[in-house]
Amino acid sequence: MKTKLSQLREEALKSLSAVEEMDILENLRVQYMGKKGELTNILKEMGKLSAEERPVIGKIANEVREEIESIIEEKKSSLKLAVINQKLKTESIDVTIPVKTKFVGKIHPITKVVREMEQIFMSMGFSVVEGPEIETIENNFDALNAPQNHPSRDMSDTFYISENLLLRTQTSPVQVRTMRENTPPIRVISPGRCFRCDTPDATHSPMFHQLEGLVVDKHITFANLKSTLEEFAYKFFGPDTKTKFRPHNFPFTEPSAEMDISCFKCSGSGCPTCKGEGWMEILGAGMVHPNVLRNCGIDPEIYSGFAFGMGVDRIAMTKYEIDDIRYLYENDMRFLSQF
Amino acid sequence: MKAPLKWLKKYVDIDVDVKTFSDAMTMSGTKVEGYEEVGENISNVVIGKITSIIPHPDADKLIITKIDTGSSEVQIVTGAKNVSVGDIIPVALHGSTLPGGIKIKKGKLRGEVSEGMLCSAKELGIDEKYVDIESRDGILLLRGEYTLGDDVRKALLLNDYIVEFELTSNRPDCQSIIGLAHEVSATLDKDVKLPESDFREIDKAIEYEVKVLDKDLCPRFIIREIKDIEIKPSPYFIQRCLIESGIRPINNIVDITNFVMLEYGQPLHAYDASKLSTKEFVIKRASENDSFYTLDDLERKLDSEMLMITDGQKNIGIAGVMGGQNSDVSDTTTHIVLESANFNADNIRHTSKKLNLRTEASARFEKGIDLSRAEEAINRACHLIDYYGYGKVLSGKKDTLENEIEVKTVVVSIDRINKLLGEKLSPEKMSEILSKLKFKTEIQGNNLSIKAPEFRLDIDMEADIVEEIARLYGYNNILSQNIVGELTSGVKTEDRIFEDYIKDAMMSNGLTEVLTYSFVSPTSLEKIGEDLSNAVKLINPLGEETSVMRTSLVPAMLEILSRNLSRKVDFFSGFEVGNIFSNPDAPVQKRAIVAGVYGKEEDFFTMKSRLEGVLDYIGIESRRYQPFSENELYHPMRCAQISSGDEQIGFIGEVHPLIAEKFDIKKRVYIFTLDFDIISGIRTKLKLYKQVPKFPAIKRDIALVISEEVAVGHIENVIISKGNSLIEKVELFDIYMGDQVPKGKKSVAYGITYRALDRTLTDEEINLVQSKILTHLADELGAHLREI
Repeated sequence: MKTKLSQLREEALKSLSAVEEMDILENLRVQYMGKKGELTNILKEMGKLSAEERPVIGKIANEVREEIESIIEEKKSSLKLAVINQKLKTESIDVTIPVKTKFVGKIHPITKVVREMEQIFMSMGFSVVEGPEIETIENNFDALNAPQNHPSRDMSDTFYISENLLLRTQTSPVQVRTMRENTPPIRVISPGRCFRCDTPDATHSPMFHQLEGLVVDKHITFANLKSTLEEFAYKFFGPDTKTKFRPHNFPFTEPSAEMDISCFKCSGSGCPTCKGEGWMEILGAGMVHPNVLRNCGIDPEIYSGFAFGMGVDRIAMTKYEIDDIRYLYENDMRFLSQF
Repeated sequence: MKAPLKWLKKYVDIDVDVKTFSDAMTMSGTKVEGYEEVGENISNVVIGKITSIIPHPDADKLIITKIDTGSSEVQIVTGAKNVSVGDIIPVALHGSTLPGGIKIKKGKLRGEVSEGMLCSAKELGIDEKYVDIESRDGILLLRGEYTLGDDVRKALLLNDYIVEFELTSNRPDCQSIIGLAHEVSATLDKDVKLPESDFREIDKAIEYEVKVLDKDLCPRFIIREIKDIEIKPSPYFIQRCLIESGIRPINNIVDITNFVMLEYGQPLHAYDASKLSTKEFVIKRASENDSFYTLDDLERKLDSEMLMITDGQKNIGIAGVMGGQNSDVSDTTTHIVLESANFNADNIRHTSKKLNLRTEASARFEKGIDLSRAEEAINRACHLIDYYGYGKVLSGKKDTLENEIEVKTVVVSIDRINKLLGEKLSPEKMSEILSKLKFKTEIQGNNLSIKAPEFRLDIDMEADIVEEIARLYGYNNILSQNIVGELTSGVKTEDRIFEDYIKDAMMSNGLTEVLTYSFVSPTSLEKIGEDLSNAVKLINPLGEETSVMRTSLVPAMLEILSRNLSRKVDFFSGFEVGNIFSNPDAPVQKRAIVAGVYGKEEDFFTMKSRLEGVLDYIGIESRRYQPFSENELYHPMRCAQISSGDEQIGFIGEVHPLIAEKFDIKKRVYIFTLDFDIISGIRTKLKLYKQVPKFPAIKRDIALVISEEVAVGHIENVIISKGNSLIEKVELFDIYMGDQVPKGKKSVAYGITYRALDRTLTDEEINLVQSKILTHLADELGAHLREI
């Protein structure tokens, strides 16, 4: 019986290895392993064996069965794979054929930059506030400590609507409104449109965008101003950004500063974007002038604050390497669809 | 302000290179815009003297010169016409370089050896407008004492840097070499050596008087009288300083007044005494409608707010702006009266603006000058005139200053300064910093009592002191510290959140954001029939194009469509969300929405599909489209009023061809507008979960024949309203007009999906509902099932 099993094994292995089609494989399975198959027939004779032989032969028989079964399974999957591969071969396509893309609209680069800035400042606890584009002279100049004879008040600089109304030249009047309507702690940013009498050219536009910020609370320091704006710079321009604060002068802040950042195009080694300087001026800032706090109903003996402002258009232009501000407002589809 | 470094160096020691100097000044608050090197690239150019000139044997237009360069003699062939034997000239020798990278080499010109080149002013980088008439269009002829063979960079002072400072409006005192020297001194911690200003007076006393009638406009007026004046060119150093500051040298007297103005920031004016009618200067407001010829030979119309200098009989100068032709210093002047005065800054600004005449003087006066400068400056000018022997100063002066100049005391809290900066500076440290700026300080307990120098008109209060301390301590030495305090949460307003939401909806439906000016041309508003009387107008627009605040976003959108079409852009789809303005008496601002498209594959329905996508995304439900022919903007047969519930929310349609024509649009374009406030009010902000259906749907198709006139929207309304709430979806899948249906009729085919949430519908149930629908369609719209 041992010999029979061994012969059967030899024979099965031989015939299985030659199989190349699925139905022949199935026939062989039935032939060996089926209810009336050859192995089954041999096993049926187990009863005739002595009690000593039975476990020995039984073990061999099981081994033979498992071996044949596993070979059949192996064969089955390799044949299946071959069949599928054959089918797939007939389904080839040219993946290099160009396609028509589904046209999704784009968001204007100015909006993109503003949104990004809003995200950063909101994560730092700043709320976004807005104000009217037509403002009072009081909110745009007087309350902000602008000297009565300041040239920016001239008709050659500012668009006027009436004796006391104008198109805001900065988003700072929103700060005035915020301070008058709220009590500290105040932490806001105000993005928006601003207007100045500049004839459009590559770097000037009678309308442009600013984003300003204001923090007022007890114990607000120049050191806080620096840390806040440095954090913004790292988040907006990248973690390797270096910052530098230079003294400056604005009527509504004192001390006043301008912040330069290491050029984010060349990381400070000097390139056309930063005119070879390695640095670029990015925003103006300062401690809110006590006159401004007072004008807005906040006691400068108790509270202090800082404010900052930046030109969104210029930052967007630098970021996207746009060399003419007029492109931003011409709305040529070939320009807009790039962003 | 441009400052030649050599000039600054006369008054303060600058022992660092120009780059380090510029950075240090910028960081202490006097920003350096840039600097240029004078005489850059000039090498091996020396002073020479022409010893002989002979004609070139082979060229009519050339001459052969022999030049003595001190140690040797060279031969140079030149085409210059303005040279003669004995002239001192700059000579570029063999191997020399000139600005612009030009290299000069020995060579032969028409067979004659030429060992270099004689230089013109331009070739040395000097603008011709600054040199004598004889030296223009020719070789630069040098007047004065020179050593032959000297390098021209040294001899002509072409070896310096000109530093350009960007001054802030609070520091008019820095618009002067002395003012800058003080800042340099504080920055580099070096002493300031003030210019010499002593001079000799002759026995004869000044004869002129001053009477100021309008003291409000002239707080101080000083005169000095100088006789035996000899007019000639000023010293070369003064000329170079003027040239490098952008002022043309004229003669010694005029140059000295300009030189001192640049040094002290105090304008001076010299009058030719022989041209004055009386011995009295009367300073008063001009008579209305009077006119006056200024130095530049132009007649100026005066008004009664302009302050004039008169000689008692006639106007001789517009105070602080420009002197007159009738009293100016000329080559024949021998006797002058020198004026150094202080005028009201606002008044000078207005006068200069009204006359459209900005001068070096007015630019300084309008920013404000401290009262003590007038005296310092006139003394300095007298010193220079005396020192160079240009004239004799008479004894005494006339000065209208009555009271002593007050120096304000500012008392500041040491504690508050540290609290504002976030630092812990000792009072001694603060005093030390302030003393560098010539502030006198006294520690009084917790306070500092401070007297600023008289020229610091900007120092008024504690905040000013904080700034001074901070900038010299160094902004970058203040350590950053996070804000400590109550936490705040960053939020946006509802409107802004919604605006963002709309923009996302537009974008995902293939519309690109545009941004246009808030002001437009009134004509463009009129083109679409807007009521201009309700528009807010600008008093001083740049032009008609931008003269009214937009009352609608539509005109700008049409202009964009037109512009893109004219640029042959074949497809455009854009939107804008922005503010519109109305009510000129008390302007009202509100948000508005517009979208516009054109393109080969665009029509009313593609636009409607975008709109539907947008409205669905932002949560506008129960949307209906009503045919609308009353809106002039749109094609009367291709326009719908959009509503949701009871609210009318906007319009969509093809732009009326007549309107399109006004914008030079020759193609079909489509727009929609939405009312921001209304949709913001009715939108479903929170879309609640609805159970995903458990029971199967049953779909039935019907084809109806109906009069062409009936809008399909009505059919859908009937189907839904009579569907016993069992209708999940109604889809129009075909509209047919043609031979297969009677004339004037159309066939419309719908797929209707029925579903109940709580059970499986039976055929009987659906048949019942559908026959009810069909009955109503027949009764209300005359629609019948199409026989196939």
